[in-house]
Amino acid sequence: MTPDGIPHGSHASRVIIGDLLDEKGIEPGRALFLVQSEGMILPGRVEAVSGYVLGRDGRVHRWWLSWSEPGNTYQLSPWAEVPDPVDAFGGDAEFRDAWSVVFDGSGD
Amino acid sequence: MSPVSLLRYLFALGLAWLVGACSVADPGTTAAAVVGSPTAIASQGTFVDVARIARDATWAPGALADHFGKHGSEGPWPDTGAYDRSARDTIRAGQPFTYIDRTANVRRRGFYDPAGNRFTSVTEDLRRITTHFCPDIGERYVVLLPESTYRR
Repeated sequence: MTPDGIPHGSHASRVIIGDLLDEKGIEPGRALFLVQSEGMILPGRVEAVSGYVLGRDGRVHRWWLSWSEPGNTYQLSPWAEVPDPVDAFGGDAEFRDAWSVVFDGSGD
Repeated sequence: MSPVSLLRYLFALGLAWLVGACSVADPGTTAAAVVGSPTAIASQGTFVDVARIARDATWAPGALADHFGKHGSEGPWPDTGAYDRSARDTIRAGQPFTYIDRTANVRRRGFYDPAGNRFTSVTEDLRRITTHFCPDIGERYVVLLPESTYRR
């Protein structure tokens, strides 16, 4: 925990999440949605974050940016695919925005 | 303003007073939508139908189990059911406010219960519960969230 309990800004988290998604084989052109800062401060004053990623293949995975004590590194854990994402998230504005980014525009 | 418009305005004002609406509703949120259920008024002056949110908002697939797995030890929650009930109780009992999630860079609706140091967040469309936890630094956490409208 940091002295004031306040993490650095979002940039560090997003860079780490992006690198870990690359390692998972989720190619650029993807989009994150339902992303949520979780109040837990990880080493490096990075805040734990949860969310979902829509890939260019239309698959969705849920993820949680956390810290691996044994590996002494950041990780996406839990990490799991969400079946039938259109059915699961079709009513979510943030999923529809992510879909537009991936399939109608440029992903991150 | 024409006399007819003025009369319509005064009529609407009187109707709002009669049904207990004491603030400006969200665009698209009619007075009827909030009458008859417990409501709260967020710091920015918009209605939040807390009973409806607490009843109808859902966790995204897998999110309840994941969040309980990470935050479950922070409160007296023996299982996901107790954790979920606490999240919804916080919506009912907590002070509503809005803020910008610093990682997502999107607006969220937050609910903070200072007595229990419980925080629940939902999406702006009020459909999803996105998290529930007990902030390490208590009320300061919600005060310091980006663009937080929370007031002590």
